[in-house]
Amino acid sequence: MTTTAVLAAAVGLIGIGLGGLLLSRHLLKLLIAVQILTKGLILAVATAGYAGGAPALGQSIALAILVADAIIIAIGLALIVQIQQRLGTLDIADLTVLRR
Amino acid sequence: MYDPTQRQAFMIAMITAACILVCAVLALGAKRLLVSVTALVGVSASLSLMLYLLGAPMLAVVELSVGIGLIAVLLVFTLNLVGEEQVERRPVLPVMVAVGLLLAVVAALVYLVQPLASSDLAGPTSPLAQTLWHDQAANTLLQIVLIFAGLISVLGLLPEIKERTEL
Repeated sequence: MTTTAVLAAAVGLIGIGLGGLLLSRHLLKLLIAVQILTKGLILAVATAGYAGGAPALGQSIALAILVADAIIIAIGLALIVQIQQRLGTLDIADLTVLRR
Repeated sequence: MYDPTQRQAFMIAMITAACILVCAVLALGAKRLLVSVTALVGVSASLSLMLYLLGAPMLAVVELSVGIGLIAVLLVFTLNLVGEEQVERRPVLPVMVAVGLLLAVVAALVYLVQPLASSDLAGPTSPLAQTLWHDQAANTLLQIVLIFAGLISVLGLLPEIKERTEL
């Protein structure tokens, strides 16, 4: 019974995160969407570890995802600050420098 | 560890799942970015509770400290630097395409995780430290290298801001 709730939360988080990635235009909101997506993945991997009979393996992989996620957000935020200072906007539709 | 009855455990898990999803929707739907960051902190806190209930207290503590202690602070710091810029809410991708894609992915996910829903979560346990430092040693070392690489990258990206603030 509890598994259903945990899996519902994991699938919901992945869905909401993916929706945010597809529908948002603000760079910070995109990073927040990536965060939410990753949290869903962490929950799903940890649950899969338990369901597969290897909880420690699931937890260690979830920990690796967590570390990679923290690095992604740190580098992403540093890039966002640079983009804001160089281009003056965080709207992805206006970031067309690479197209030229 | 807290050991509730099966019915209590189900109720707590459902309430926690609802909290996680509400906070996630609020994090992406809020107009003000500070509200979004606060809602993201709510997601992290609820997720930590769910991981604890799942029987992964170590992972819960790391999620709590990284999600609230590190990521929230970094987000607020960045928000302070870049300000609350209002961006047009109309998405770049057509809404129908995005929603269709999203529904397809969620349907595929539900189909894939359905067999897990009937499984029992209580499996044989081996110490996390044993798995982390022996069975997954290469993975752990790679994480340490990644942390340093990330730190160096951030330090490399930020000096220009320091120079500008000094001027």
